[in-house]
Amino acid sequence: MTESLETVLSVEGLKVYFRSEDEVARAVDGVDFEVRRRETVCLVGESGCGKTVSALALLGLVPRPPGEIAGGRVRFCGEDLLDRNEAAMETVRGRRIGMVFQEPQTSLNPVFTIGEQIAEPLRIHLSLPEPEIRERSLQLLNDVGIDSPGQRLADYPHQLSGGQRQRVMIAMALACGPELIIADEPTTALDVTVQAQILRLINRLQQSHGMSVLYITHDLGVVSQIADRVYVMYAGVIVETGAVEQVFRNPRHPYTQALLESLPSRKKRGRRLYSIPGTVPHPAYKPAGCPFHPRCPRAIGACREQVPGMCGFDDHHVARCPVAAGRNAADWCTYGYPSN
Amino acid sequence: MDILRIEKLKKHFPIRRGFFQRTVGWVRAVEDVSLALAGGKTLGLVGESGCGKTTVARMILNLLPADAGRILYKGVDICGFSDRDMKPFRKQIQIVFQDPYGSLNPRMTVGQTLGEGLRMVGTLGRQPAQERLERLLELVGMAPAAVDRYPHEFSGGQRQRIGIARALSVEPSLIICDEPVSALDVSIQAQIINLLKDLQDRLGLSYLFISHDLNVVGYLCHHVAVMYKGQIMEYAPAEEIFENPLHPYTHILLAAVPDPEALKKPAVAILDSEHQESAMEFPEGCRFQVKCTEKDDRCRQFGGELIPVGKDHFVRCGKA
Repeated sequence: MTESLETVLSVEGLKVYFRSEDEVARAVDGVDFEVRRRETVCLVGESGCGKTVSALALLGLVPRPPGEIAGGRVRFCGEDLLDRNEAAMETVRGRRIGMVFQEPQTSLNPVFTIGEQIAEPLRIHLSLPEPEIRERSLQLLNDVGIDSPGQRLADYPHQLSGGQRQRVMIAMALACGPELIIADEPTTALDVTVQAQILRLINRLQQSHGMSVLYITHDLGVVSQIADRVYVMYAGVIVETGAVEQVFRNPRHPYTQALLESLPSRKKRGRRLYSIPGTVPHPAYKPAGCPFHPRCPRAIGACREQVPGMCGFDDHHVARCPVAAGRNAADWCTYGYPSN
Repeated sequence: MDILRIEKLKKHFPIRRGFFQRTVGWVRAVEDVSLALAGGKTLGLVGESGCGKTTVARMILNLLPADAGRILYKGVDICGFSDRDMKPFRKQIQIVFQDPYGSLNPRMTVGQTLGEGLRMVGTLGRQPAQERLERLLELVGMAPAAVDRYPHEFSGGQRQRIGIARALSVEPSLIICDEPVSALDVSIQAQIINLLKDLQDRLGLSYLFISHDLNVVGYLCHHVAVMYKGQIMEYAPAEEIFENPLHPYTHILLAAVPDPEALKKPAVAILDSEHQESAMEFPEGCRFQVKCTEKDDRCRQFGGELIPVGKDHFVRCGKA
């Protein structure tokens, strides 16, 4: 990592709540992260931790109601995204921020050809003339490694394999030359060999197009392959962040440690896998204090009462655990964000 | 002794087109599959989606008739058995499904679901049945209170425990696990894997473990069979497969598996553009040659038999 990296996206204190009649689900509860130019940042966590909702919120895609942005700021290339109205958002979405979603089967429209779907962002955002649209579409399909692109333009989504559909999704996300791509579990539904191809593709495109990538996944294996930096989320908050080597080689938060410990691998054969007791708390009924304390092997009395702040370990390696940092409970509030 | 032996199993599905549903071709879903699973052990069956793993499982359970081949369960060929003949074997061979949401009846309480199995094994009065229900739940690490609750009240991991308890309710010796942990979160996945291992140790169960996740397979399985387009490409003890893989496809699979401990960029052993290959399309000779990085002219002539290359190690590749 070089120091001259400028910040493309910065999210500060983002809170997204979902209200129903008798409860408030605090899906995202004060999340901070940033993505710098030409960087791949992974947001990793188990289902329900708020990683997808964070991404949807910064794109203005959280349905309101029942959703509600309860606080925070999202800045994209210096501009505030949360204040924008829908029309202003549309000039950003799909044009300056591309999106790739988990299921290529359901995110492509089955009744339009691939060509028509790739042409859409080019027509709407760039207002290109038709012949140029076709040329550009062919180039895009070629870029994402699709065989005989001319033929594929006339195909419908069902005629393509899962991997090809995901390549088409990526081509559409790239269509307008975005500065940032948000990819939400783009390889989860794919086979490992296809997954490896897609990850390599994203990697290569990022280098050649100079984009930044915010990659959302629950798969720590994928993170280890593509991330420059990682944010680990648990129950709506970031619990640890750092460069991928720091977080994987030297995890500091007990949750990150437990996650890595619990991954099966051939090297752990014959040993019992560590398994985190209990389950992820429901976003409407989170425990007081540190949200991980009921499952944490290192929890002390103070963890039940105070929301821990972020503690620095090494250069840019930060974890929300004063116990791991060896700090006194009395000092908690002086580190990082004050408890609320 | 092998609890399960499969010999030259075959299943082709017809492709029908047109008004008269004429058969225009065949999907050769499973071709010449032979496997052996020793009692108390775990055999991993790996391969990408559509390679025929689940079709093999369905034939073993006799939910799908095989076209040819033998399925020997404890030495008895159960292939082609009628429902009546199959009945005693249904208690012996059970399955745990991938999707813990879709595989439990939402209208039945956990007690009712498990009770069906328990009734199969013997006629029991109300009281002892209750006791056995609770023992079953305890076996899979659940509280007895779960008996009166419905599937929707449980999380994915808990439901998978119920699915396992249901399989165990008839006291089987062989359980087919069809991707049992791939729908679960990491922290829950470890709980279920530990549970499967504990149950194997306690009850001496044998598992046919179908998965696409080689990290799980490497952790859990004693033997591994790698499947591609309906054929076993390589079969060997787990250490052999990982330490000394011989088939180019096994190489590619292993290279594609993300290893969280390695922190490496995605491997290069794979073709970068995607070849559109339909399920009906089978090249002459080796089925893998289209994607193979080491193919030459001989691959077209390859007869396609499993070649023994070492103790317990077989490869379907002309170059091995």
